[in-house]
Amino acid sequence: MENLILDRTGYTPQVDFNATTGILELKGISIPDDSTKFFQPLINWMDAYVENPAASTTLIFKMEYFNTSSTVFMLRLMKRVAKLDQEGKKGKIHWYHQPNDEDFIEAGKDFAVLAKMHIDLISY
Amino acid sequence: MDYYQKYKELNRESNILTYTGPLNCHDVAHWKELIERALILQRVENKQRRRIINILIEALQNIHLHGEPDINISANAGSLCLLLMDKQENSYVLIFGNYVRTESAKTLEDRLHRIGKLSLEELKDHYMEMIEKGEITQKGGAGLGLVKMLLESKKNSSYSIKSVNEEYAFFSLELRVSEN
Repeated sequence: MENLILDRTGYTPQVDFNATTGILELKGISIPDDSTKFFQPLINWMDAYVENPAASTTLIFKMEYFNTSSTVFMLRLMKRVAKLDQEGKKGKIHWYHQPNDEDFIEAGKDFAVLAKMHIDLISY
Repeated sequence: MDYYQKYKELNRESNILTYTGPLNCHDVAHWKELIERALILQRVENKQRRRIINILIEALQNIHLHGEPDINISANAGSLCLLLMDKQENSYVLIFGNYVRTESAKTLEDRLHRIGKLSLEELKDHYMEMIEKGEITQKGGAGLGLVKMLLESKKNSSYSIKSVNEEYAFFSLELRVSEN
């Protein structure tokens, strides 16, 4: 399947979803006013990917800001990786944060609760 | 008109930003960049800065999605927006205002009244439940902007809804973001 690559804009993150390596990365800002329009193609890609995933899948978030509607879709992506992992297909989620950024660390922990999956909190 | 007097009124020592005018979808990222740059110059620490920006993003998107154009101009120039930002000691006060239709004002007031009664912990639980439910409105929002803004300000907030005429009301929301 084709990789999904989107450039960063003032409203949306850089997307680098690699179906071969299983590294799926979102990086930057996510504040689209119509989140469905931006995220639905990512969800669709992911739904196709999980049918025949790489040996391991790592969903990486290197976010600066994201709005509440993006949060809903980011969780949907995480839940798909959690399902892969539950099925024994090695899924991981990496949540990057600035050192000592308590709110961002808390956001990562909240996602772990909601996705019902361990999330690696990584300082950078 | 004494424009110098007007300038002095607007350019209070504590004032960081005063804006009134139309707001379009492209303006959210623009204001975010502008305010973030101002906060960096003022050496506002990361946590407080992020909270201010998160509030700004949600507030402006709410205005863009749900606000009404300036009812006096009736031009299709986007939602009319009032945006004020002041620094008061170690806190930043953000004030947003926009026109809403009278029927929306009632719904808004009910919602603010309902979530206003929740403690900070209950508000966070409500936020988490809503995220888990994952409902997205027809306009592409999550309907969670107000909850997020109250959380980011730790409920240091107040609002007013003033009836303008039979059809419209003016909604304003004030949020304070302290250092800790």
